Amino acid sequence: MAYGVSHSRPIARGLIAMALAAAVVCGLGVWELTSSTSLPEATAVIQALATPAFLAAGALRLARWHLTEESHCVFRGCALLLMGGVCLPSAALAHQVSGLGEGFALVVGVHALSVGAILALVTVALVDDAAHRTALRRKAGLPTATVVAVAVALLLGRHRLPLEAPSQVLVTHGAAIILASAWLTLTAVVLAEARRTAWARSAAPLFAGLASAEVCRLLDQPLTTLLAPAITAAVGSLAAASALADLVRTAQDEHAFAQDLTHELTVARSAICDRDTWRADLAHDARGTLAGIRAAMQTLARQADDLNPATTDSLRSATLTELAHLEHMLRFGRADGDAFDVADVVRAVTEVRRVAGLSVDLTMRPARLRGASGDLSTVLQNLLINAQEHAHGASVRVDVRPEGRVARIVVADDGPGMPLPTTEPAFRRGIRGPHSQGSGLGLSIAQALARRHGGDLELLPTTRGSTFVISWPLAERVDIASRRLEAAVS
Amino acid sequence: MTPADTHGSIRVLIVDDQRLLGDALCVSLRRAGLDPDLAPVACRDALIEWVHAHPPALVLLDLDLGGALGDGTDLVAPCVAAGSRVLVLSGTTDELWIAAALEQGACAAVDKALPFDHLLGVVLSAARGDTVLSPSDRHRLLNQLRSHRTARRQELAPFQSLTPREQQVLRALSVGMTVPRIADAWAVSQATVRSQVHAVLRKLAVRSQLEAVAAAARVGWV
Repeated sequence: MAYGVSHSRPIARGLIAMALAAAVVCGLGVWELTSSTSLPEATAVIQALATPAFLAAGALRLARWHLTEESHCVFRGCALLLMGGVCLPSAALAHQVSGLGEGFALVVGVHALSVGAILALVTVALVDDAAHRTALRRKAGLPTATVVAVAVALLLGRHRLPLEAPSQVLVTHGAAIILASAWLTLTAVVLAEARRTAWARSAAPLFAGLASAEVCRLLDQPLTTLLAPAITAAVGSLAAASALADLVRTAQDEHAFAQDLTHELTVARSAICDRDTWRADLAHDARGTLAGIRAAMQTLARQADDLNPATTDSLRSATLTELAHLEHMLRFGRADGDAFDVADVVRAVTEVRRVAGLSVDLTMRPARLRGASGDLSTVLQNLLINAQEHAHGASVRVDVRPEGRVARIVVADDGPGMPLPTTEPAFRRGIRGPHSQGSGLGLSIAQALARRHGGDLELLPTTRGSTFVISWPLAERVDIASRRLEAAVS
Repeated sequence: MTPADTHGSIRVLIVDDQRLLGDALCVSLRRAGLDPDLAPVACRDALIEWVHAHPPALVLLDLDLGGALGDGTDLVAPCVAAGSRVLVLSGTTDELWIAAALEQGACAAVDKALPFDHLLGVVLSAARGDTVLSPSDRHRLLNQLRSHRTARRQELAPFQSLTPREQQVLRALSVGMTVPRIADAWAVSQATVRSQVHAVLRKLAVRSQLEAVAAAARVGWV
């Protein structure tokens, strides 16, 4: 697909975005430090930069869900919105309200609760895609439950929280350790899923980044305190970049799909048109032929006594011609086949006639013919039936040999031969021998079919019996011609 | 043709590539006292010349002549101009086609698929100059043709409003080409092709390329 190239780009774009964001944020942080602003203020500024990135990423994910209706997009979108809307502001607030026991516990509790919710949403998104749901739930369920439990403990126990500084530090660090390990566990889970779920691979760096930000916060050095929100901001821009790339790819896929569909529809339509035209032509010809046959039959039936024999004869033979034409038309419906082995056809036909009581003596040299094998078998069958009817008890000799550019198939019987008056017009439609039970069409159809394939059917003058010769073009002639053509082209 | 024929009987010309039907009609019409003749269906101009030289009273005309003559509708007006009545001998079930022949001046149409006696009866009464097609039927068929033409014009109107280049763009889209491929093939910028595509979408009042192509296919424009 033409759009395949863009699949490798989102990650590169994301990395660039991340690096840029980190550089900007760090630069801003250093500037803030040197301009002797307090550390919490600088942190808050950087943290504020990360928030819109997450919100934008969430909005883009939801937009993609709107397009593709893939449910994991909803969960990921909600997780990102929660990150930008609740998680980050509460973390920033925690720095502002340090020192106030009750309020601090409330903010940290809300933060932890939002992290728990994000973990739960990501887990649900993974579970939604995965086949092995139970194992996944167990793996991701434990960190989520732990985080939620800590959050609930903080929220419920905030009135009894000790206000002294050491214990507050203990609470802060405890919460940070739990959050960091929760992010790390999620990273591990997502990485483990990366083989099965396509989007998990691109999500793993985000969770790793959030975990490292939490670790930085835990170290509590001026530089790491500043680095934590910087990493968070970078993760936010990475999320936004990858969400945007996904959305663009989805739109391109939709477009490519529409183009493919257009193409398919066009091809299918033209095939239908061809078929319709063919069918309409066939129906028209068939209707006309039937009308002609009906008219002739009724004319013959009503007015037979008044008509002179010549007219009757010509109407009758014309009717038979039309019947043959109809048969021919139905045969035309089938496409001509490729090259075929003459032996297969001749053997199949003679076998059937042998079963029907005709004695056939067969000599054959191999040859490959072109055209419709079914037509050759009709020709041969008509000749053999003809021999069987006219030369009762006679034996028929069939000899097949390639000769020049055609295969000559000689069908000779040792019967009484065709009586002289019918020898000349043997191939005229409607001509029947004196004892014939047939329609008189056999020989004329046989000749028409042979000629249609570039061959012929002749009756050789013989003193005894009848000898028919079918000539049918060899396939090799075409091959040689096309080989010459290829040679000329190359 | 004997002198008795030219004086005494009504001359009928049968123009049909279906030779057998022509033969049978000839036999039956001759027996009914008419003077039928089979037209050569090899060359249009020769046929018209022949009709003008010896205008028959009635021309039995097949509409789908195939080969050199093609659409028989075009032969109606020259035959009528030569002073002959034209009875359409149709193998078609397409009423609009028959209506077009009536509009050209044919007096009526008769279905080849009718029982032969019935067919013969219609031909005989047409040869005698009787009204074969009732005025209300004729009116209905012509109205049908007229409303079909109006509907068709309305259907095609948005496509007529496209510029030649926009029509080319729509044709290219309908064979499955994409905008970049069209731009490549015509050595123009993609932006140019895109703006032409937008113009096509706007004029056809559709929202997507697929819809435009589907609309073109539906009305048989492509």
